[in-house]
Amino acid sequence: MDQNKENWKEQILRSLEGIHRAEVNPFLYAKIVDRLSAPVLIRRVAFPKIALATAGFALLLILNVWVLRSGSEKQTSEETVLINQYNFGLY
Amino acid sequence: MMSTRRLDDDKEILRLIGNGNESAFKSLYERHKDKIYNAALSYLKDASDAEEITQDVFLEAYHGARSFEHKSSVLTWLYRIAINKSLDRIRFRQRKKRFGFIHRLFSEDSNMEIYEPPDFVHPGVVLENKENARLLFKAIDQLPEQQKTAFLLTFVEGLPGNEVAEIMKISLKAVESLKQRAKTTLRNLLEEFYPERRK
Repeated sequence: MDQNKENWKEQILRSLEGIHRAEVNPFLYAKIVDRLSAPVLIRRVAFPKIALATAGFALLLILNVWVLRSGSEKQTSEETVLINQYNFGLY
Repeated sequence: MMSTRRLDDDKEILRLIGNGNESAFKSLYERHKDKIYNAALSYLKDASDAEEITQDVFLEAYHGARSFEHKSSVLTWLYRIAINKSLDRIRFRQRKKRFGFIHRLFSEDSNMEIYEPPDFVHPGVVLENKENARLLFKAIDQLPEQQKTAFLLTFVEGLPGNEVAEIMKISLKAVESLKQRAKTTLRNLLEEFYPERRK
């Protein structure tokens, strides 16, 4: 059984013996010449990619500003509470 | 007008292409189109994709003729472009397949089918070997890239070891080792197809 399987695999591996080249479409050269004479297009990055990148950057910027502002507001309110508690602002 | 001697010399042809000579470009195409198309076909297993890659290879050769440094033969250069482009196309297909699968998971239209190309039978395979070659190409598809390249260039393209080594930019010894490893991997991969034949 194992010998049969090994023989079978060997047959499969030898199945490319005698292979010849496939023929190329006779109109392929004309297609290449067509593309050669076509005006060169500037490769553009797809709009959704630009939009996605811009939106991501804007979101990151907004989050940074928000975190910074909320941090400084919190600090200010803590200072106010401290001043009020110890009456530092009286004199 | 170009002489016959000139048309037989790839380097001279490339020099003329660099000067914008279109008949030289046609000579280059006629000399190597079969090799380049067939190399792409063995990788991509699709005639229209192989045609597209062949077009891209010759267009790149046309535009790069002037800057080609002749560190390798022109044919080696063309083969390298074809192989790189074919591997890129395969990677693109795999990404697309993965994306299609993920899209299907989250999409409402979960019945959407993912396109699976039919099994490939190389048109140049001898008639009585077609069924066996179909299974072999199915297994070749699963080989790692380096092993696949060494195997295809040797056993489908029929290139000698030293040319394969030049194309792959590795030593002849490394090519031999890759060929052996490819055969071992293929034997293991063929295990899963064995029952298919028994049915």
